[in-house]
Amino acid sequence: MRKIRILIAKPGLDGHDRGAKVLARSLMDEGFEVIYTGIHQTAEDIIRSAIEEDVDVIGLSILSGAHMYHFRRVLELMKENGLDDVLLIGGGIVPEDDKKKLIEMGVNAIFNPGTSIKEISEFIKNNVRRIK
Amino acid sequence: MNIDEIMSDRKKIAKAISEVENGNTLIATEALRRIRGIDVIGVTGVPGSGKSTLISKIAYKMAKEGKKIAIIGIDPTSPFSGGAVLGDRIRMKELNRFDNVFIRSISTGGKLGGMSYHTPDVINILDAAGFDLIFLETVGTGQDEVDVMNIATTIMVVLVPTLGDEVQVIKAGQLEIGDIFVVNKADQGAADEKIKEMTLILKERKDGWIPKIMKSVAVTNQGIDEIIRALDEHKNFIIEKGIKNKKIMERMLYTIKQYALERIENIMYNENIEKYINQIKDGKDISRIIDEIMLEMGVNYGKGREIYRKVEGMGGEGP
Ligand code: B12
Ligand SMILES: Nc1nc2c(ncn2[C@@H]2O[C@H](COP(=O)(O)OP(=O)(O)OP(=O)(O)O)[C@@H](O)[C@H]2O)c(=O)[nH]1
Ligand SMILES: [Mg+2]
Repeated sequence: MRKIRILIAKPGLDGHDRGAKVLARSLMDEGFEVIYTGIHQTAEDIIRSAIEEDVDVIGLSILSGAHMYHFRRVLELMKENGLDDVLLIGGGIVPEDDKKKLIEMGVNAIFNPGTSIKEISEFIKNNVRRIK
Repeated sequence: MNIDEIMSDRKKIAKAISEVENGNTLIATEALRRIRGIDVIGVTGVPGSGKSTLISKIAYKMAKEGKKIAIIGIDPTSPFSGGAVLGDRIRMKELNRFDNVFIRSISTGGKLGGMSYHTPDVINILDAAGFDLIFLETVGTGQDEVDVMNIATTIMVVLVPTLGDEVQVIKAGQLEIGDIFVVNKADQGAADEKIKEMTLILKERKDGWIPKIMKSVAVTNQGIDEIIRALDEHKNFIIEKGIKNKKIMERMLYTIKQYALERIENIMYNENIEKYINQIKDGKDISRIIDEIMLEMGVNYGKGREIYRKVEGMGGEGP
């Protein structure tokens, strides 16, 4: 059977890719198929990859402080392209207040530094919307 | 899902690929019935040699001329977790501007030989969906990775100047399957030396094609036009020689063979292993179990059975 597929992307000019790489590798060890697309992705790039790869989860890693902008844009494009069954999660440096706002906007979860992989992995398994 | 509908947009093609990866033989067979026999360029070579970067640069030029191009990037599945990191897209960012390009990453699913059981199905879907050309990047595990020859019409092997002494070059299985050899990363070592060394070893292929060898620096776009020309030459060669039809037929048969292999693997391991273990625990004879497996796989003992009965002293009652 097909594995749960997760796109890990870094939007915008943020060059902090250590966390995204560590995460990609750890999620592989948890049995997921991770598509890593690298840094400097536009929201359009991310949506296109998500569609072509038919992923179950989009994960954005943002440490630059531009999270409100990028998540809003990706959410917009997800609606436009009918990706309602895809989970949107994120991580990086996101202050608590912004985290609340993002969840209200429709982001499914944000994981800050120090979160264990088990926690992230459990969340994905319990919330992935498509039944395989 | 109907194939004509699948062809209509990116999202549907992507969904259809997931379906066949999930074992939907209905869609797979429908696609197989409708293949048009487009060119499949298999790209293989050691990890990090620059396969993805090269494909990106070649596809860029072709897409700019309006060709509809599909790219499949295969990466290995972890034997421990069953998961995978699929990273070929990292090098293909610049293709995002083209609507006439489609990229999909797939994992080997733990199968050896460089591709998953369903890779031929994915190729067939993209063929039926109306693309002009497919690039298939296989896992770069090197020497024994030759499955790609069963579904590609042209095989490009990517080498690097710094890797491999003569001994390694001679025993490498990839040397026998390559139609075009590219010594990439020519900026990092003695590419001309490598070409000289290779030219001595490479022989005419069975079909009469003389393998081409050239150098490139993918990151700065050097040598890309030459590679495109060589790909074109090989494409024309196999049409002129009438070999192309045979290659397409090979792909079709290979597709079907994969179904059979997967089925056998399921019978022998996945579906039944617990069952067999329990039967043995309950005191059933192992030779009985083996007979039943053989029967289910459609293997007929035929003459062997009679011979067994006739030969004396073999013990037991035989199958
Ligand atoms: C290492 C580092 C760098 C390295 C980056 C190396 C690299 N290739 O990644 C270098 C030195 C290059 C760097 C540069 C800069 N940095 Co810096 N950097 C850091 C530092 C110290 C650690 C980041 C890190 O690698 N953490 C380790 C990884 C494993 O953790 P992580 O990324 O947080 O990821 C974890 C979680 O967040 C979560 N997660 C992350 N992404 C995702 C995604 C998903 C989907 C999920 C589920 C989870 C998840 O899971 C991960 C594992 O637990 C942080 C401070 C900090 N403590 O975070 C500053 C920090 C991020 N940097 C900062 C700054 C300002 C910069 C610079 C602008 C500095 C400058 N003036 O030049 C530049 C910008 C570079 C650029 N092009 O973007 C600021 C950002 C401020 C902000 N957001 O408001 C920070 C917060 C430091 C600070 N306190 O000021 N930096
Ligand atoms: N110096 C130099 N670097 C190159 C060249 N071509 C590719 N690279 C770099 O080599 C690294 C690997 O390139 P990829 O295209 O990912 O190689 P690959 O063969 O697809 O790798 P795998 O898919 O992991 O097996 C990247 O950092 C590229 O930027 C080249 O001609 N010269
Ligand atoms: Mg690659």
